[in-house]
Amino acid sequence: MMNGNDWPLVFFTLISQISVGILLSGFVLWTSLKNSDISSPESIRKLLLVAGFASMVVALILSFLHLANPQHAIYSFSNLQASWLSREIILASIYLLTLAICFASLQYNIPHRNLFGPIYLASLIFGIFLVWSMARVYMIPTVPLWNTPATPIAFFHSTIVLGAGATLVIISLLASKNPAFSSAEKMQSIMFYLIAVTVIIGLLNTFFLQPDIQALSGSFPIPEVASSWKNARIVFLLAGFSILTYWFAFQLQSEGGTGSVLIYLGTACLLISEIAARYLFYASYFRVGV
Amino acid sequence: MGVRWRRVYEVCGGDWKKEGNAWIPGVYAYHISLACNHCEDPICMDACPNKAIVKKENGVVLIDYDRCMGCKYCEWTCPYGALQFDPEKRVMTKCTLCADYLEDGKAPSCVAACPMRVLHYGDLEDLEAKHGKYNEGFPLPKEKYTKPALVITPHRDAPKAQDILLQIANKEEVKK
Repeated sequence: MMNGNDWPLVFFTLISQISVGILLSGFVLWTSLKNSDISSPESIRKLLLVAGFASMVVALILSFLHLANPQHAIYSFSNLQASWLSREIILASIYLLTLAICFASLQYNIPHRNLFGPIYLASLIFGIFLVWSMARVYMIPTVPLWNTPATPIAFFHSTIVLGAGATLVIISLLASKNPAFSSAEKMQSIMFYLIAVTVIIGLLNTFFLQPDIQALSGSFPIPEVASSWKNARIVFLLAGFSILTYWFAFQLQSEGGTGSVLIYLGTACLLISEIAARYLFYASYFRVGV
Repeated sequence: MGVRWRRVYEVCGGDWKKEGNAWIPGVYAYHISLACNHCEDPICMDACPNKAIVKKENGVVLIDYDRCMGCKYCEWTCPYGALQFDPEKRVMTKCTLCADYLEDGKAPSCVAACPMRVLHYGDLEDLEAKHGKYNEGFPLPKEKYTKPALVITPHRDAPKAQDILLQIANKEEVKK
């Protein structure tokens, strides 16, 4: 199953989930800091929006690379009543549109600056539905290994870990260029906690909640999934999390190391881990029947 | 192997058992000829975002090439391997039950060509009355997924297939 044609799908799903994850992280940040004295600079709002928008544009371009006849994609909204793929495509389009309006309201006061909050929230809700529909696309009744709760759990895990990781990197970049960015430390702490909780849930899912492949497959043959990819996934997840934990415990807390290179290294490890996990997901495809 | 709308699967299995000084053979092999089953509940049709797969009034399921964007999602879903990508046309293709022949009152090509006369076509109710309702057995999936418009007269060993280790022996001929 896993061949050259599927790589665009690996990156389409991951990058669009990063986009939604960045928006979600922004929401968590502003909600957490709402009643505190710490204010978040507008530049970070803009940067997060631009990052979310740009990554979604890249993801959509990649999705077209998977199509043999992209000029017929215009018909892809036709089967909303039955096809999760159709729903995913329209949700991706609406999500991108709301992101654009959101940025316009903040940057150009169009339609109005005061509408930024509600439009941002609408974008986030559409984004969450987008990730849900993305997971449902793969929950095909004839593909037993994908048709389990592990699929949406894995997709939302990627969304939060990579989104929070990307937000952490963006905050670090801003903090390293702007020493007056006093709230960076608090924001980075919130992102670290978000990553930590999600990684722990992800590890529990990996070790304890994965479906019984043998029971699901019945008498049908199971493909051999490359164990090296599986091991790489776990190693990079643990490495990324350990590096970020070290940074958080020994650099941020004691030295205020908001622009540490360990952040980039740890986030890169988490990204590699998620790419390996998504590769494994596609490689594990098998369906009942022939 | 490219596009083959009908593929013949060779299933083999079984074992030898020792009884006294003799080895008693319990091995078997049988074939299943499969194409699109023009299912009553086509999972491919529900999956297609473009509504490029349609079910006609006479039950034949067809692909509208002018709407197909070649995403191959239907290929993932069909448990009979009926949907196949044509790299030249750059669209998904599958058995049409020779819809144009049917309109002219002729039999589908595969039915007409089969030298052993094992393939038949017609109204599903008539075929079920004549041949029974069996349409499962290895390597076919359970009927519940798509309700295939298919009945087969199973090989006598086919029911064993669920319990005994067996395999498709000609994978290189039927898998892409």
